[in-house]
Amino acid sequence: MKPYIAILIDSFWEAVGNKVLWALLIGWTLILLALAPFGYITERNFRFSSFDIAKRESLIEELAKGTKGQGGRDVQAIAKELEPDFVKELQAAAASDAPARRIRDRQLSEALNHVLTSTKLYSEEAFPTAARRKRLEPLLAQSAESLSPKNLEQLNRELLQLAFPLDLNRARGEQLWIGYAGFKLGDPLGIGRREISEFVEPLLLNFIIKLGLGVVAIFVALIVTSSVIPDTFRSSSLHLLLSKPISRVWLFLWKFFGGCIFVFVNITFVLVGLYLIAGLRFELWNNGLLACIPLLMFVFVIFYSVSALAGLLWGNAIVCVVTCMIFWLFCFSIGFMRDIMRPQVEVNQQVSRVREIGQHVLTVNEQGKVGVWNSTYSVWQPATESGLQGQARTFGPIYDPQQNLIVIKSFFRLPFGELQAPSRKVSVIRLSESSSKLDQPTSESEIAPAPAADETIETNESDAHTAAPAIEESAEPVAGEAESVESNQPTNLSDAREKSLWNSDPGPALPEQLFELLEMDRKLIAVCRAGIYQLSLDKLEMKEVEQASVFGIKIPWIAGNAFEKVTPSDFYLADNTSAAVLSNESGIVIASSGKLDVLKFSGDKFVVEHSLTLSEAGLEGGLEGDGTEASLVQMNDNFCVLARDGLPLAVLDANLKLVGSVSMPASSKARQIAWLPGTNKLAIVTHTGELLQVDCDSLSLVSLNIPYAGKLTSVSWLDADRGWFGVMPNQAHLINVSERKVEQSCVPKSTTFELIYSWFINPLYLVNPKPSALDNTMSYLLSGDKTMTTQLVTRDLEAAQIKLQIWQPIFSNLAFVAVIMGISCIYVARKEF
Amino acid sequence: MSETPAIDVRQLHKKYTEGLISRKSFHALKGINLEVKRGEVFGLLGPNGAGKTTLIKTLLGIVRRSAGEAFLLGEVAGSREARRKIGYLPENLTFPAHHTATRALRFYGRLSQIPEATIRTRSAELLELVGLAGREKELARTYSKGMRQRLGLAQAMLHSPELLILDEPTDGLDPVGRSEIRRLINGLKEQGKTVFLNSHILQEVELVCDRVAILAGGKLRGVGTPNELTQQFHGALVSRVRMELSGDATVIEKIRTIETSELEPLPDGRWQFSASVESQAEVDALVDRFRAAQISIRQLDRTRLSLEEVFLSAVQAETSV
Repeated sequence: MKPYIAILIDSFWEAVGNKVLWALLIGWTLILLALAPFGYITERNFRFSSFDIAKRESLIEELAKGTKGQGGRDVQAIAKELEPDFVKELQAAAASDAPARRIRDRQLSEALNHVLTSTKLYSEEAFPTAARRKRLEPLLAQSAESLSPKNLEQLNRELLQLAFPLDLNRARGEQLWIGYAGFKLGDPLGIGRREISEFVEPLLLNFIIKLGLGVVAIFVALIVTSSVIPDTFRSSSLHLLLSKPISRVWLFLWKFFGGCIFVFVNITFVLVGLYLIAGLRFELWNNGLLACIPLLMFVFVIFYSVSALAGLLWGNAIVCVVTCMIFWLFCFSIGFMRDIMRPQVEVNQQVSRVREIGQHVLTVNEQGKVGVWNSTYSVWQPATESGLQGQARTFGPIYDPQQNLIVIKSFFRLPFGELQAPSRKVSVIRLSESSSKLDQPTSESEIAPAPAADETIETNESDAHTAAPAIEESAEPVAGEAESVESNQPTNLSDAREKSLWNSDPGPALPEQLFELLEMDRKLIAVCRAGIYQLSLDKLEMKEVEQASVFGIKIPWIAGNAFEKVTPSDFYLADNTSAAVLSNESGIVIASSGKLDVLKFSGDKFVVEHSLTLSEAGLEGGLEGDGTEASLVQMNDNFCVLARDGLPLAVLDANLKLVGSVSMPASSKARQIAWLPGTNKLAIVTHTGELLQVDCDSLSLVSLNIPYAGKLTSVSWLDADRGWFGVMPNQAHLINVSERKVEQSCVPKSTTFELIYSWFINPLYLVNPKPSALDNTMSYLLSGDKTMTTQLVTRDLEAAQIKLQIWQPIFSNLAFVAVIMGISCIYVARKEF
Repeated sequence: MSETPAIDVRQLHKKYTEGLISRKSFHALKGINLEVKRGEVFGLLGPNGAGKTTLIKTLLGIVRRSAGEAFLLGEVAGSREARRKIGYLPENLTFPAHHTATRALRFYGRLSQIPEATIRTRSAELLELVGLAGREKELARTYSKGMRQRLGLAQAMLHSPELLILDEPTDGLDPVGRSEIRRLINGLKEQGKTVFLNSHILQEVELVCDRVAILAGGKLRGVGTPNELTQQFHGALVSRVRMELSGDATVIEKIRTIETSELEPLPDGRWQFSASVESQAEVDALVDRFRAAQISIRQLDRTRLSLEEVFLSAVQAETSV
């Protein structure tokens, strides 16, 4: 046997003989045994849980009205089926100041569950639209008495949903409980399997693996193994080892790897156990768990290399542990500083939309801030004031050339993808006449050629169509706004960064639970949970605005519900909805909960022209999805393309018949999709910054190698060859895709904060060993995603995701380990023991 | 038997240097010349700090020599080939906590690249030889010091090396343990093995060693058999004569002419006379003179100088240099 293998085998027996190893293994076994009985319990169930009630106050109010014979017929029919005790409670609550406080969630859901068992709920008079719903047809064909209890529950749940489309969440049909040894724990979960696999699984696994193994187990292992090297190289047995015909460097290295056996046994035991539990109990056969074994070993090796060097130098196990802790603290501090700064510099600044409005280049960043390119100072000058700080979702900018105004609205994103803003009123920016004079169509000759992508890009006053020169050139500013525009001229760089260029007026309030705000035929189309609403852009004109006066001060817009509903009352949408205007502006396409609808105007209302449920489209092998995926949709005259999170692109024809599916490159997710004008080709900007092109005629997908590929964040096509591209971190470039040429560039000057990040923190982080960055690799192995959402779940594919540095930490850490081990080997070779 | 010596050291120097900025150096070995013949048991004597361990470390390649040459069994000292041919028992040997006697022999045997089958058969023989048979499954950390030393000797003998270097093999052992180790060393000698022994216990060295070297202050003070060393340090074979006399004390005092002689009274009017003599003729002359003066010689003992006395003379010579 090779002598070095003997060292390894001996180390294994040393580990086996270590009581701490056995104590840890027993501890892990107990944890795994405690975890093993956990599992999902699935039932076909339509009953209510507290998660199903979206708007409690409104529901209680409506039900209370129903018990008094008020409200819609459907609500009254439901109120009749409530238990008498609850009705009394409801009426007492309604009479009180705070009705919602008197009725508990559980009480409310139990009352609704009682209604679900009623055989007398349905009547055509109370629910006139129910018969039009396809999935209710088979249930309504039978009498309620003859329905099975589950089918009766389903029917009544649908009827309740019709009566309270906004107050109740749609039933999933399948409910999940966390079970323990076959017993249900608490209420059904408010999330589906996909969300569990997207959010709960990574969170739990990350918690157990990263904290349990990556921190606790490795720290314990470092303490246990810290004595291996000092003992070997300081004890009286060293001279005996060195008298053997072996290399002392190899002796050190094999002793080092021998020390890793302890950790290997621990990690393998836990991860294989977790793999089996996750697979057998939760049907999550995640091979990434097994791939984490070498990765966690590597994390240990990084720390252990430091410990080993300290052991050689000082020969003391306690010093080894302390050195490791100092090393960890150093790495953590650098990583923490970078993690704090990174979203500010790399994520929130990303350009999510670019638009060329007249001579202005407007961008919207991930913070919802609208910037106008100011070439004088080479900065994105704020278009209006914005108080948003975190990641935001922005609707617009929608530009109306007739009135020369821009409509825009940003909402702050909450962790579960919900949108929140202090007010639902849109911002209306009325561009000044001085600007509008320059807002003539841009001629090619006016656009100065831009340098190549790999060159440093500088802009000057003459090469861009910007707000600042536009204002300066205005010879006679008109009264009122023009004056205010002039007063907003920045006088220095700091001013240009902070001073908003235009003033914005609060416009009409958007309807609740907005999914999309589109512009079609000079109308604002708001796609909301309760249906589709419209507002003519003409109504935004100041003259037509009904102004209110408060203490003599005129408020431009206070109307609360200027938007008019243009869909039937029973048309409502699910939580995950995306929509787009057809490229010929003849209607809109909506993707909602695994269903596609094409709606077109018939008179003054939208009607569904084509409809398709994806599970019935013929997609196979799980490609149909479960309807809860975040999606993006686009449609032109010939094709409709649906991009969903984690699924291939579905390509359908104009009648929503499935043409085929196109797989995205591995680990790529669509961030923005847009038709190349006048073609059947769809451009996809991915979260990894690539530009893909899908040819719907041939169902082929190609990656376009254009300047800044890998750093793209958004696209806005001017024609089939040219478009404005958002480029990381906060740039915008006009690129001719066919010629691969950058025609115009907007590269803002870095702020002091960005300079510190770019020239100090980031380089320091780059050269610094970063064991914690291996979490990225671990996340990739567990989820298969190269990008990571900043929210807990992906509700919106357009939200910027953080590009994971998957392999870079491995290389930098390998380099670090190689250096440390090299120093240790030289020390061992030269040291006279 | 090959003609190359088991150990051949020529003008060996070792200088330790410490400190990165203010470098301090210490000259541990100063031009050592030593030759140990094959098949002999050779003892290395010297006070603490004399350079004994440094010499052994240099021979084993644990420290690098600063100058000079050293060969073990014809191979360059410290080379992998040389280390393959030798067995080594370090001072104060401890075994890893998880090692039993069997596992320790298997581990060190594998490090010496001995075939597995040989390890198994030799382990059984050696454990029997060193008296650990029956206790080979016990953890070595539970062994007494004597048992650990015997186990250490067993691992040194595992690959039947031609040369064994034993560093303080009997240090800290009780008389039984020392006797046991002596027995094993004698056994090795009978097998024709070369044993290089480093010990503080002069009696042990005197009992088992064919030749001895005395190292002091990094220099070799003497090399040879104990007799040769005695001659080297006292010029000739020096004996000590002790006589028990009875008679007139003033007469005895007159006859005592030798400067190094001592006279002490004993009970019953007897006297003890002791003196160093260089030859038998000197002893005969003393006896003749006492008898001529009517002094009765009741008892006569004659003892040789011990190695300890020689060692002390050598060390004193070093300190007076």
